[in-house]
Amino acid sequence: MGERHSGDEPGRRRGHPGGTVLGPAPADRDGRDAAFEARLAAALRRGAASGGIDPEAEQRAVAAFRAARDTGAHASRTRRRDDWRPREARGARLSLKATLSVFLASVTLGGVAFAAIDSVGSAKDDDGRRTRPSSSAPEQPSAQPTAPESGAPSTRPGHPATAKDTLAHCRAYEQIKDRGKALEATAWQRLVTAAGGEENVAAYCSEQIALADGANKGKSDKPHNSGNGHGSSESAKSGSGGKADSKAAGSANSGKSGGKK
Amino acid sequence: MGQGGEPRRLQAQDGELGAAVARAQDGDENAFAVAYRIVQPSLLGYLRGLVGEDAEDVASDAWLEIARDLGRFRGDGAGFRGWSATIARHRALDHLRRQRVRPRAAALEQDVLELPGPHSTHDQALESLSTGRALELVRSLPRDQAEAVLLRVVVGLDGPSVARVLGKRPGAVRTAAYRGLKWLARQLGVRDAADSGVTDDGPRTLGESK
Repeated sequence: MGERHSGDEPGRRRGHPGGTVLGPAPADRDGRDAAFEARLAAALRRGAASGGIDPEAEQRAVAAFRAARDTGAHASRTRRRDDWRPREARGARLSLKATLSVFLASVTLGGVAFAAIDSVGSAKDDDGRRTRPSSSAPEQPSAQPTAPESGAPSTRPGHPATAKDTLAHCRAYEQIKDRGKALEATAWQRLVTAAGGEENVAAYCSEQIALADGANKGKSDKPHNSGNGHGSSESAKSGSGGKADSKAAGSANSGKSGGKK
Repeated sequence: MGQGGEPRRLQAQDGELGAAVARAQDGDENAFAVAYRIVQPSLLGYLRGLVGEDAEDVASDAWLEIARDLGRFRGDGAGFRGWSATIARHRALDHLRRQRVRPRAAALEQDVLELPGPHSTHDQALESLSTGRALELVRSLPRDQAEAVLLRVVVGLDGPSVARVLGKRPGAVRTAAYRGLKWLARQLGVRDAADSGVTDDGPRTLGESK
């Protein structure tokens, strides 16, 4: 039995210091199963332990241990898979974790609910907010052209008219003012409103253009260049108005085609 | 616990192993060597069942990782067995992936069925069981059964620990170990044990080990 095994290979006993625990096989069936497992294990481990522990392999492992210890690798954080403490200890840790995750989940859900409430609230006062940007010209490089525009109400909420828009419309207007239908397009309606009546458009526009030209002369040529480079529509031909946004250009084109009909 | 002699014997060592691991975690390299000598035979036995002759190389790789990550480990001696077996298993699976070697030998039915002989009493059959034959038998099991048997019998882990190493449910692991052991007992010609012991009482015995 156990004794006989270890008797066969005395060197093995160092690897199996507990081999004699086997003792005489118990007579009952559980004992026989246990003995079967023990024999199987002994057979399987015998090969593993033949010749005892390989000293070289042991030295390599110990050297690796030393290196890790001396480089501070042993201060590494314990991952979940490294925690093999008995279940009670782990249970306490897990329940703390569970509590935390429930707390986090409630915070997250609460945040979502709060955000939903907030978005509904903001939708309500949209109208109040949207008119605000029209009173300023956010991208205007110079304050000068802004002044006449700033007081002008926008007919289209959500699309703040800039002085550049106005200039572009004015320049396009000069070219197509004789073609009646063009003036019905939304952009022209806006221009007319800004000027305070259809008959005032010409005067309003010349004022705007003069202001813009004056501002540009006082500065470098940069706005002119970029304006020319940028412009693709007819409204851009006359120079510094070329930076007008694509909506104005589109309006100009549609207005023109409308006039052709 | 209703476990076999080997696990019980290994558990008897767990106190010593746990103390050695704790000292090693404090930086004692001699204690680390003690832990190595306690664990290495069972790790090698397990790895032989998984990767055959490459077990020593895989074990070396595993020990490098164990030595490096020892500071991360938390637990006692039994826990250290499970932790190190998990590392060894990952190295073995990496090895198998690299080698594209099937973990179980394909063509050993004939050899395996060369049974010890007609004098098949329980003890005699096992007495004459060579390591090579035992390994062949275990490796001819489906891998889940082979691993469950090896981790339980050779490494000496309890049911939940085996399940954790294998990443499976304890019930599935218990069933796999039971089937594997029953099949092994039959192959080894322990007809008496297979009929009256392992077959009849197997489920109860194994059930107790969870």
